[in-house]
Amino acid sequence: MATIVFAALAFCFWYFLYPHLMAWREESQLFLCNKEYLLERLAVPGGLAQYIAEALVQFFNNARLGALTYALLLALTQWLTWKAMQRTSAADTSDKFGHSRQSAKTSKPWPFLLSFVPAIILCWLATNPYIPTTPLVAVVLVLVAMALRPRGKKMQLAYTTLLIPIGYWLVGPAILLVALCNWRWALPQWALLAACVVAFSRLAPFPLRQQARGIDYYWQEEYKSTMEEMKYDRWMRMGKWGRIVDEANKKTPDAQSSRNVVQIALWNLKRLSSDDLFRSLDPTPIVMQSTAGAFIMSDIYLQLGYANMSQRAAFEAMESIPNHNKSGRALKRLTETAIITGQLELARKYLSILEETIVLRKWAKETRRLTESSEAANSIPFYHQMRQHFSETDNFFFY
Amino acid sequence: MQKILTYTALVAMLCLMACTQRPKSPSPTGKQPDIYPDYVGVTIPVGIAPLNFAMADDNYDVIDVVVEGSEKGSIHANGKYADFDLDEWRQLLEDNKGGKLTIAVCARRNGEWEQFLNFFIHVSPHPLGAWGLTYRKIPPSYKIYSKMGIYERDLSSFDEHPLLVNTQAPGMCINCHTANRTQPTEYVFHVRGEHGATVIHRNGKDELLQARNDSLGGSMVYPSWHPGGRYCAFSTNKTSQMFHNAGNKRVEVYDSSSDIFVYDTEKHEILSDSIVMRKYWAENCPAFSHDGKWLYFVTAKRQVYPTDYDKERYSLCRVAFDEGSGTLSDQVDTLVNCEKTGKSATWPRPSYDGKYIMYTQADYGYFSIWHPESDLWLYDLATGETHPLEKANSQQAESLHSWTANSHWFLFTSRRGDGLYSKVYLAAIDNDGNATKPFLLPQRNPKKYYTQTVYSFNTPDFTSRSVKANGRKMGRNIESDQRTNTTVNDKNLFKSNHQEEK
Repeated sequence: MATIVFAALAFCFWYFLYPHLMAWREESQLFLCNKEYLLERLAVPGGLAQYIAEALVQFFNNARLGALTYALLLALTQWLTWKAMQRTSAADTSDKFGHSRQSAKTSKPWPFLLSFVPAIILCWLATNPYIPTTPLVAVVLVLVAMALRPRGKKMQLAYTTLLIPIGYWLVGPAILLVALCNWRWALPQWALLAACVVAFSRLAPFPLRQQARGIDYYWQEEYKSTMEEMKYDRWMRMGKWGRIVDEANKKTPDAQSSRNVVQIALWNLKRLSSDDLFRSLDPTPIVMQSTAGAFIMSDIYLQLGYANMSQRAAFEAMESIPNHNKSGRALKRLTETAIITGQLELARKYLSILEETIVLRKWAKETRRLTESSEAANSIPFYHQMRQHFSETDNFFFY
Repeated sequence: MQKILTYTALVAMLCLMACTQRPKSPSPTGKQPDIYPDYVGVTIPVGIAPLNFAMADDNYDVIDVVVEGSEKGSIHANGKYADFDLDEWRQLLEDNKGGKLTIAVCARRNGEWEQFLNFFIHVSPHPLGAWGLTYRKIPPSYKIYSKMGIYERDLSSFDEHPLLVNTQAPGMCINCHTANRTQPTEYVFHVRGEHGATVIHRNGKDELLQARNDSLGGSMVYPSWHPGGRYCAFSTNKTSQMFHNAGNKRVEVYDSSSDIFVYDTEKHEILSDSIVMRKYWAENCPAFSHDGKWLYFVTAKRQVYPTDYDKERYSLCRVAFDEGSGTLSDQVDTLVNCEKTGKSATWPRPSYDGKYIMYTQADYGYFSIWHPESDLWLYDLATGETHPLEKANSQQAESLHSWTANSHWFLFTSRRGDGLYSKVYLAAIDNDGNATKPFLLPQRNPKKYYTQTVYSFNTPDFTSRSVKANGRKMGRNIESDQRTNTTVNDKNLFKSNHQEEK
């Protein structure tokens, strides 16, 4: 019952407080349902955890699904932690034949409360944009593997000896939990894990330090997006112009890209003329120095009819994704802008990639028809208008 | 047991044969097939990987291909795309060297088989003279870059190996891997970013030079090895970008200043010379001749940006180089004069047999990959005549070309097709200096590969054998920040009779 309550709280936490972060996570990846994508992930330590995490994150643009996923993962973490604690406790009190005696410890409430700690820590870590979902999934997988541990000392020894190298390759350093939770063979297990990290580091093109901390457990904050940018980006995508202006009235946004969103919101609410909008927007490259900022600018440029610049901003957004992932949102934008600029073969290239996603497959298949000819593209009023604007606009330069 | 195995194998074979979708009463179309990649009529060397292909139209679900040699042998492929057996393909090319292959294609669409007219692939009598390629793969990005790497590719198969990927040195930009006349014993490449360096591999050792020399006022950029291996010419460029709002171009990459110089790898000395470092001129893209006696380069009168961005046109020039003293002469020859052509010449690449210089011609500027009008041209060093390589060129940007060691073959990148992602094409030069129809770098499943890749091929070059670099070690060296300092020898900086002040 406590686990269900915890799951409900986790759902509310993510649904009400962090929908923008979940949307940002979704736009920072491109999950493809093909063999190559899976093999690319499995080729490096921790790849299975990353693959499963990305498979889940692809639905995060839907805040309900995202919050539900987090709630289930966190509840599972707590429940499996509790099971692991019970088994460890039972093992500590088992007789020489491996039969467990009733442990008094499990009847006290504080060990059960302790089982929430890892899940709460993981939940807190997950609110950091630069700690992806991979470590959370990795911990769940390790806890599942620990729950499946056979009984009997010899069997357990064989199981953990196999689990550490295989588990390290599949989920990454989270396999450390196995060694942490089994004091009986702690030293050899730690030695085995260290050997795996060093030996396997020769097989993956990443520095040893990055492999030791988990290849996709932490992202470099080179093009750091702020929570504020993520919020304004999400509101803009949803067309919540009134909400944007209200929030800006309460507190002036810090990021220039967010302030640009406010201007475009005022323009959409017809509280700002086109001339004033052009004067007030800041198009300097500095606003594209974060993933969210570049996505914002891609949307703004497209609304203003600058297809080339929207294309550029989408590229910058995609290339700034910290773990080198590609982006479904960016590829969708690149397809749209390629149709506008008349690069129909290029648009078909992007569509063939998007057709291998789950979330954007339907859109890609429907859009392919528009890339057959200029007439087909012009049959949609949006593209007709944008293509006309693009062909009639005088060329000038952005920097 | 043996009987069981034999019967099992027989049943399996029968099942496979039953499942194979062979052409049944195909209807003749009376035209040649539209295939991807377009290998119709191309000329290939013996030893090249199988030219697998598919129907360009996705509505064809099965293709059946028979390849027959003019001398002997034939091979067959059937499936979603023509995937030829590697050994059979190799033998067929060996057996038909100097001859041609006849390709018969049937394809199925909407359950109906169609038969196309045969086409030919010519097998050149000239060997390729290279083990494979090296290239950088990078998304065609703007200012921010993501994952990229320098790779080598065995041309006799589909095998590709990373030499250095920037995940091994996180956050770094790695580029311009350049070998000395395709020999992997000497190469140079650059690392940009927090741990920047110019990496010179020579005498079996890697030397990481400081990325920027303050006396020079910049870094080493576009390299070219002197055939002797002691000297390497570089440009030093202050590069900027500006972005088109409309039209068929996206980016203008230009230099607010650029010069060239020769670097002495033994003394770690930058030999600056005012003859190629003039104040109001942008010298760029150095390239040593096959015998090392000439240094080719391009130069343009600098323009005001952005107003006159399309007036900066480069001429192709050369200056004599004395290997003994490491000095350039005072006399510059202009080979292709932009004042006369009204165009801009860039990326000169002298052939290793001393006959030609291949270069890219664009309407203006030098960063030709973003110029759809860029074409390959060939300058005949014996006659001084120049002409476009018609068969190699397209409506999209052709650029970044290189020669094989025997100079019968060349490669280049082209953005034909989707107009954005550069791909590697190979072609031969005949005795009259004309290019054969180029063929796209073979891949196992080329249609899927090229459609779905998000990388461009950049600065490709031939390599006479596998490079065998240790990417992990190089990654550690790059992150170590241990660098060799370079000095500037400016004794020739004020030597010339040019009046321009440096």
